[in-house]
Amino acid sequence: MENITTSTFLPAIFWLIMGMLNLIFILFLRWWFRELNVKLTKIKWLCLIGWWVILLLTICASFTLIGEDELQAGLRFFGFFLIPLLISGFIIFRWIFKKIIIKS
Amino acid sequence: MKLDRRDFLKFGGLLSGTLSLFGFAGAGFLAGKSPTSYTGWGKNNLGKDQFFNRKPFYTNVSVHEKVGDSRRINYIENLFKRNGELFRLMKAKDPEKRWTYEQGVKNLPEPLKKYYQEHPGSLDEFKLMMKMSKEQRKNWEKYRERYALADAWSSAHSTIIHGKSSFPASPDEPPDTWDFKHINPNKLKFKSDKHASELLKKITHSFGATLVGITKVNPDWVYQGYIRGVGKTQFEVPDHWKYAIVFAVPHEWDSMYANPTYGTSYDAYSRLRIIGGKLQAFIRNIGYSSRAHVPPTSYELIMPPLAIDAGLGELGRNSILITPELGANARLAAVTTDIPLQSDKPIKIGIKEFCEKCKICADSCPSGAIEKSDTPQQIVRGYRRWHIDQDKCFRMWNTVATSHPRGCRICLAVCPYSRKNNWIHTIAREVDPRDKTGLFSSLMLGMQKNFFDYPDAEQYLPHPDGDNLTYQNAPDWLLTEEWCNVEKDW
Repeated sequence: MENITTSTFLPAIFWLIMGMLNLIFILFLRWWFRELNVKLTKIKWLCLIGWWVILLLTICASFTLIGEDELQAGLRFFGFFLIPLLISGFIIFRWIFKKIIIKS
Repeated sequence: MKLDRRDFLKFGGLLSGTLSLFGFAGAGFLAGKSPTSYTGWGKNNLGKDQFFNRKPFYTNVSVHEKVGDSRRINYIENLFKRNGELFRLMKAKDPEKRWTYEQGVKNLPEPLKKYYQEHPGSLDEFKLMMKMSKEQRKNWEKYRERYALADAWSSAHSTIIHGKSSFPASPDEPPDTWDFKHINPNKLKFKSDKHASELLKKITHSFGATLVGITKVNPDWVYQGYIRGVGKTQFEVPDHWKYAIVFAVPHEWDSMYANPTYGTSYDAYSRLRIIGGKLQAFIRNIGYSSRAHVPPTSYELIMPPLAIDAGLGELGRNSILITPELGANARLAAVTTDIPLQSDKPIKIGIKEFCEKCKICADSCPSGAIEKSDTPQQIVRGYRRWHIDQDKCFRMWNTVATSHPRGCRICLAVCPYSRKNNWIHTIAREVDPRDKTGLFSSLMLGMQKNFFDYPDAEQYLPHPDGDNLTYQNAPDWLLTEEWCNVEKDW
């Protein structure tokens, strides 16, 4: 594992792949919203991507603590932030799909 | 099975999102595990590790709260000097010179008599410490196998500290001659004070120092009553002790987190001694006087206030220096010199305010030596500051399951500032000093106290009072049972 963390080459490749995966994911969301005839304003996109970034950072932070041999702290951190993340995620979901929900 | 374009996009998109979640989890885990994130270690020792930008936090206001007439510390106020002197009196071969508890404080020679008259509890603690020390030696056999590697590792570090092979050599002449010994008569003239300061910092980093700062020597931080190379004497601060180059290194992090039993002070001390000795020689080689002040007891200067003046950090509740890079895991040494230098400024990064709220070290201290009051209450030689009960602290050294009293360091390990240099702690380190409202530190502290597990203070003690717990698990390379044929019965 030390080879991975001390390498000057692997982290760069890793973050390149992470960037590509996230780009693909966002392109997928754009395509999916078109399929569903949902039009997203800039502010809705911003909220959605912001929520996704916070989710990624929360997971990353929890696992950083776990990596530091602070398993309980990592799990508690994740549990603590998971609830507001789920609530805010639900609110954003309702907001984006408001018209579809009303129609159905 | 035929995969159409729609399914492909759907599958690919969802897979990307899922992989991304796992990727960030893995990246976080590795960031936490990475030895390169050990605060202050980095990938080289050429000064890059002093990464915290101090400039926004420099202050021209005195960071020491002077509340009365100040005075220099008498050598007898140093626990090791005091205990050593009392111990020698109790073990004196000449019965005429020997002192026993029954003779009482009034029959002690000065300055011990005055000290113990002013601090009656201190002698009781000494008695208790002597009793605990005997028990520690007696109990060691029970713990010897378990901590054999840790003990050997500690002893290896101590080889350059004690005895004939110690480095740097202890002064055996007065400062007016010793500090100028083997000096190069061809003195190098620096382009400016700034050039001299920058060069000496680079050189000190190149010798292995993690943090380096420079300050003028404040006489209040110079010991009185004893000087190496002379002995007991009242002395004025020598003129050539103009500036001090103060430097810090951390303990090896994994063993430090596994205090009190697996860690040792000697690892950092031995490195500081090597750096101090080399810097002393370097300065004499360019034609100036120098004197190394190195741990554990080869000092004429008190280190924490000197390091504060040199801008390395602030004083914490545990009465030791807290630095932005190393937290409380910073051990100190200095070299005094007459080279004209440019002093650094002290910094204010809100450690005092943080310590007022935190109290984790005080709650975790097995000896109860650390003040629990909200603000510093004690006035020490004219300064209001955090202060610990040295006698209680030293008694604990004699209680934990080590071969001999070699420290506890729990207060270093549990300090929220003694954390790795990974991204989450870096955010906390950078945001907290900039938040004047104190809300951020309260939030961080709330998480620290509720998310992290701290053993109860007494659990660090040996049986039957505690469970020999350490703050974190010991690294595998200090676990005897991992490498040697021992029967694990713990």
